[in-house]
Order: sequence, then C-alpha cells, then structure tokens
Amino acid sequence: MRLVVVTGAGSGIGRATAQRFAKQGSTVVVSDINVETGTQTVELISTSGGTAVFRRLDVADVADWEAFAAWVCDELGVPDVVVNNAGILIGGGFLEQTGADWRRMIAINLMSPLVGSRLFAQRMVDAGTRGHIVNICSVGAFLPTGISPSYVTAKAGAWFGTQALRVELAPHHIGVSAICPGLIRTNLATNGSRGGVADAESASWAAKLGSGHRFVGRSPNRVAFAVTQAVRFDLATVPVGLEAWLGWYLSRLSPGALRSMTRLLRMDLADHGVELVGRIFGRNLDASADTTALSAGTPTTGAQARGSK
Amino acid sequence: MRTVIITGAGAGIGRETAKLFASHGDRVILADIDTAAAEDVAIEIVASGGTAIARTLDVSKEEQWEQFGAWVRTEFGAPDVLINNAGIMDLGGFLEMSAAQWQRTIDVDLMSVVYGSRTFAQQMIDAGVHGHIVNISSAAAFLPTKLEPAYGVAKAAVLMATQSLRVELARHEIGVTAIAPGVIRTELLAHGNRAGLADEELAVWTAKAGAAQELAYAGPDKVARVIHRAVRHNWAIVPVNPEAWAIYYLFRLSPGLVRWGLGIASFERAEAILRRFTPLINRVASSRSAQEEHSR
Repeated sequence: MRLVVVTGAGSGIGRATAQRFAKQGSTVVVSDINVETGTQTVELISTSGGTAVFRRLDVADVADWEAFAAWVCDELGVPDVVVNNAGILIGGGFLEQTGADWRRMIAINLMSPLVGSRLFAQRMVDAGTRGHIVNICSVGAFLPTGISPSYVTAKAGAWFGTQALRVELAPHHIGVSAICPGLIRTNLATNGSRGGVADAESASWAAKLGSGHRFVGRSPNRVAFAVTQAVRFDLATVPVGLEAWLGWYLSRLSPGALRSMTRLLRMDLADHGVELVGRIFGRNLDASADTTALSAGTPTTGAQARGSK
Repeated sequence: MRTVIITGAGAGIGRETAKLFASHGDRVILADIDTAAAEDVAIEIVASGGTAIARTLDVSKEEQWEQFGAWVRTEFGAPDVLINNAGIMDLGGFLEMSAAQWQRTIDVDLMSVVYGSRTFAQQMIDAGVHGHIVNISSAAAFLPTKLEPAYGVAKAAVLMATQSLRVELARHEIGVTAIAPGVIRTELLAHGNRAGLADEELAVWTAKAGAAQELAYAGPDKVARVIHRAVRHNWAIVPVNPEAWAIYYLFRLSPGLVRWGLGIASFERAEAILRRFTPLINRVASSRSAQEEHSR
C-alpha cells in the first residue's frame, strides 16, 4: 500500500488531493497547521472507507518539519509520494507589504516546499524508494504582478527549485513535479491577508475576497487529478486550467507582452474589485467580517491562516 | 549630480559599476559588508577625480537597510539609481545544503533585493524622482542544476520580484531592470562555500574553483557597461554574456531540454574538469602576473 504525505490537507487542494489518493487505496498522512480542519479531512476519508492519519505541521518551522519527517518515517515508513501543498496568500503592493510579510511569504511558499522536499528526498534516496515529490506552485510563478508580488516571487522560486530537484533526483529514479494551478475555488484568499493596512482592515479585505474566491474558479478536484496524473506519468510542470496554460506559454513566448497585460492589474483597482466581490458574494459578510476582525488579534487564528491553501 | 547606490561595491561587478558611474560624473555610494574593500574602491575613485562614499551594509539585515536608507536620505536625498548587486554563491546539491545554508542564500541573494528595493523605491516615489533600480539576477535563474540549486532558486525569485516591481513602478516612472550576467571573472566562487565538504577540502576546492573563475573571458567591466546602458534605456531583462543569452532563450523554448542537458553536469565531472585544466589555469595565472609585472 502506498504511503502519501500531503501538507495543508485541511482544506482546498490539499484536502481534495488527500481524498483522491485515499480513494485510490493509499494510506494518507494528513498534515495541517489547523488541527480542526485536518482531523475533519481524516474523518471524511475514514467514513468513505480510506486510511488516513493526522499530524499537525507548521511548515514555516524547520524544526517542526524535521520532527514531522522523522515521525512519518519512524511510524509509517518512508513515503512513496510527498505533496507539498501548504501555502498562503498575502495581497498588497511590493512596498505596501512589510519586511515581515515578505519573510513570512518566502518562508511558507518558497522555503517550506523545498525544506519538505529535501527532508523526504534524502530519506527516499537512503531507503532506495522510487518515490515522487509534488510541489504545488501556481501559475503565479510565471506572472509578474503588482497585486501580490511576494506570492509570485515565492512561487517562482519554488517552481525553479522543483526543476533543479528534478534534475538532481532523476538518477535515483525519484520523480519531481510542479503543479501550477490557475484560479481554484479554495480558502486561500479567506485565510490570506492584505499587507500595508491595519489588522482589522486586512481581515475584512481577505473575507471579502474570500467570499468570492469560494465560488469562482475550478474545483480543487481538478488539481488533485493533476497531482495523481503527474505522479503516474512523471510530468515536470503541469498547469491546471486555461489561464494557467496561457500564463505558462505566454511567459515563455514574450515576458514583455505578459508584463504589459499584468500592468493593468493595479492594487487600487484590485481593492475596488475586492469591494465589489464582497458586495456580490458576501451578503452576510459584515457580521462575519466583524468576528474575523475581532479574532484576528488572537494568535491562533493568525497562525491558522498559514496551513491551508 | 545623480546619486547612485551600489551594494557589494567592494569587489567584482559592484566595483567596476561604481567606477563607471563615477566616471560619468555621478556621486556613488559604495555599500559593502567588507568596509575596507569599499573604502579602497572609494579612494581609487576619488583619486581619479570622482565622488564616492563608502558605507558598511549587511544587505541581509532589514534594520541595516533602514538605517542606511535614513542616512542616504538625510545626506543626499532620494537616490537616482539603486544597484542591488551584493550576492553570494554557495555550491552544493539540493540535499547536501543544510536548511541554514539555504536560508543564508535566500537572505543574502533574495531578501536583500526586497529590502533594498522597498527602502529606496519608496524614497524615489516620495521625492518624485524618476529613478532606476537594477537587480543583479543571474543566468543561473535559467539553469536548474545540481551544482548550485539554492543560488538558482534565489536568483529566479529575484527575476520575478524585479519584474513585479517593474510592473508596479512603471506609473511612477521608475525603471526596474534585471541583469543576468553569465560567467564573469569575479571573486564570487572564491568567497563562496561548498556544502558537504570538510574544512581543508573546502579550502582546496574554493581555491581551485576561484582560480577557474579567473579564466572567464568576460570581465566585470563588461557587466558594468551593460548596467549603465540598461539604466539609460530602461531595459527589462538583460542577459550579458553570449551563454547567458543562449540559456535565457533555450530555457524559454524548452525547459525539458535544458534539464536533460544539465543532467550530465555533476560535481564529479566538475572536479575532473578542474583537475584536467589545473595546468592551464596555472599557466594563465602565471602569464597574467608576468604581464602585470611587465606593465609596471
């Protein structure tokens, strides 16, 4: 029976991927920073007859990663597939986002998939496991933008690192894939934040954007399918969705043309867009935004934003 | 008189760029973690009639950037050009490099660009300066190899950050350029470490690799000239050497082909090549020093 590790599996793409692997008969290690949603994923898998265990993981913490990898390999064995999915979204211009925002983004979206890849790849090499590593990047890896520059910068680094790892692990018969989804219906925006504004405003911004993001875009199941296909056929880069394929090819054909398109997306326009989305989709949002704003001050909720994509 | 800030100006590309801008009449601020090296360059520039000031800066520390930024603003006002050149290159495979080594590469090569761009772009916007920011990326951003994956990751991220900044700052009429030099005759390798080696082995390896880099046909002055032109014409992405241009287009054409080609490269082969070329390296080095003697 295959052993599959999925990070950020408490919601969205991570949950869909965990469920898909479980349905195919794999044992799934569900990890998330959010214990509640992570255990829910395990329950969902168990009730439909699959096998899954939960272990909490803060992917921003290298020491936690090391403990996690050691635990998985000691308790369950060296995994056959590792899916580094956990990620966050921070909106706001290059200058609006603080140094702390940038460091958090780089730690979670760039370093964490590479740290996870390193730890598990070493164990696969040592054990002679012909496994597979999948890093969930984003079409953002190819799209320079002024509305979430830290996100695209981190994803570009993660995508490139995935390519380098693919070259290095090929002689060990370990496959490495980068999945680059376009717009997917997840909690990424709900759990995200807006750099350069007060906490309460950031929470309300994320709630408004999230209210639309939950309905707009493709199902995370599409990405889960891409993940299993990438493992099956050892694919290098897999864009998911038309916009992702367009971004992937256009960034290679003409980076200049792509930039002149993304230049139209400015942060002030994005803020108007978020307002509009909030008005259309978030009818009861004012009440919920208030509670989010209130609880955003507590460290638990702030940290929860990290785990799920 | 324009104010031009250059990080890592104590050596290599930074030093040549500082000298070139100074020779065009700009006031150059030489920031380097190696204060003595930056001061030497400043003395050299001043001796040839230019204006230069050396300043200590560890580019990986945000608070040092804040202090540096405040100092520049009070002394000279918002700068006209910022060149984020400082960088390190540690060699070592993806798995060989420890988490701390990965983090060091990211902090020095990537976060420095973020901190510097944020600090001085804001000053330029506030003062209404139609300035320019140049970030030194690398041809390594198009080369996913086993030799320096961490460096490549940082430089690929620098390229994306630079393009995002370019998109964002266009309406403030601030230009942003990424430079991808290729193999340049600098002390980058001699200053770097290689992961997975004991100390004595490491010293031998860096000395050899540093000597091999001495053979590179393109000098840092070539990069300096390209930077100067890129600022004048507001170019977006500028590979410098022919191999940098080639790999830039090849990686866009077919990442798979590049990966296949790089599958052949490895430390074993790099060492074998270094061994074979050691006599040549020594000969070139000795003939070069003989030439220098002669010219004196």
